[in-house]
Amino acid sequence: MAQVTNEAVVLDAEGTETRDVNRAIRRAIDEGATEIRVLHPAGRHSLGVGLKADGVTVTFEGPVGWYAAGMNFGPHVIVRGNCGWAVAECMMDGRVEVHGHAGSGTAASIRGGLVYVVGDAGARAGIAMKGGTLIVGGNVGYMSGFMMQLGTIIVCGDAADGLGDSMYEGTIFVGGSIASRGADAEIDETTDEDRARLAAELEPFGIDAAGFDFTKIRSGRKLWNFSTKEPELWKSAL
Amino acid sequence: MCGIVGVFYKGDGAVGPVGQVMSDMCDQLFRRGPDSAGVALYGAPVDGGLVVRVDLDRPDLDTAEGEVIAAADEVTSVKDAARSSRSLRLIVLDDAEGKLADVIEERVLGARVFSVGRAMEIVKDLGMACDINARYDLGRFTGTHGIGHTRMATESRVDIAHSHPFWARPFPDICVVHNGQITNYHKLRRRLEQKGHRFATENDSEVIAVYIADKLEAGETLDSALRASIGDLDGTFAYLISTADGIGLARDQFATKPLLYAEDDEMVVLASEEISIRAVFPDPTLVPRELQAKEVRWWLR
Repeated sequence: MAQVTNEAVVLDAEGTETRDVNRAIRRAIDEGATEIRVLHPAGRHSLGVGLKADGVTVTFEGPVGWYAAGMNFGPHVIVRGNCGWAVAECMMDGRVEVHGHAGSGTAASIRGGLVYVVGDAGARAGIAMKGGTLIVGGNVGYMSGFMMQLGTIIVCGDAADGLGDSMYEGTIFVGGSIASRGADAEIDETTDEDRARLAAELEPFGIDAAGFDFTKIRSGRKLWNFSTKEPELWKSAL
Repeated sequence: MCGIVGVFYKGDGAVGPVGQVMSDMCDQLFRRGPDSAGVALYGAPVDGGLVVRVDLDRPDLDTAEGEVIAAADEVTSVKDAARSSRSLRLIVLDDAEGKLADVIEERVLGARVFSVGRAMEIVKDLGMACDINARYDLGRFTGTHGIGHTRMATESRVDIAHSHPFWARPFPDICVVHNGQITNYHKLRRRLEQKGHRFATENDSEVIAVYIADKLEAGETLDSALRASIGDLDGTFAYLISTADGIGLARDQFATKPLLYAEDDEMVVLASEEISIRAVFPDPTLVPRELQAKEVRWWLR
């Protein structure tokens, strides 16, 4: 029988195969642990993936590599360092906090939950998001929000070129400057309701939304249906 | 997918264990490139001469070595020769007409000149970086800077000659490591061939080395050559170009290939993934930075 304990389970990744680290995390969850700390992740790939658990916190005490915390359903994953490409990709639900910078494809295709990056995120942050929320404390790279389908991206810093290119649905808020918007990404009016929501989303991370003048980006929906009368519009889309 | 790495020691006269650092960093990227690995190491410049690295694809290595020395002696004078595994290292007086590599390859069956320069030495082979380090005894090499590569072949065949780094033949001390594909390779190559440049392989990455070297020869700065490459090279790329003075880099307009760097007062390290940087910089307070789309950067002495 799994024994529920309030003490943190500490795992050392040094000298252990990635597969065995992930197995040990899963075993600890099965045995009822609610606090798991992983030491020396050292930028290794695919850590803390495919976890299904509620009320469990997994903390990586250092940088993680690519695909960290991908395909999770429920757990709260904290990275005390940077992460590589595609952190939290395809997450169904749960929360991922990166206390550093993130590589490209942050929160790719997430369906729910929350991803928070304290620093910058690379190119294509929030690509093909299907729900959930991505909050980036710093800047986002080229073509962030590309083809997003639902959910919300909140960027406190600046957005690079091609923001929100070919987005179907969803909303992007940018607190800093936008180098350029992508195809069919249009500026919408930021309402009081939006401001209240931004304040509520950012408050838990100690960010005062009132300190930013957020620009709201939504889909112009011109690419939803093909029209032979607008060939130029389609040519401009990728 | 490939892995690229680089290290540069800052300041006049600064040197470090380039061979071991490149080997350790390449090792961390073996998943990005299990086919082959290679490094270009820059040691102390040869005083009044050039260092040449020749690969000998021959079972009779001693005979081949003698043939290479005889061939080299026809164009210049060989001051020193040493061999580790199949990599022959020559110190020669000069290469006034830039023909040394051609003469060696024409005269000696199975000989391929990987590098000629005052400081640059290219060693590459099939397999993993750690094996290559052991095979060619790279661990003891100290120098000013270096670049390295682990290859997963996509566009050309898997053999030693098509492994990275690629020397910008015949320009001394210039070479490239590249992750990606250059889709206008044939056009660029034709254009450079019309200007009189020649290519040693069928690999698309070689064109980057010659492209940059051509611009540097024409008097352009490394910065302007790198910036021009963003528009002139079509395809996906993150590449490191190395010269006698340092390292430059560029990333394509779509940011398709990863590249990060970390630096402190003493050195800069560059790699496709943070895991490789952490092999050299375990200090968590040092935060690597990922390059943006179209970004160029360089570190020169």
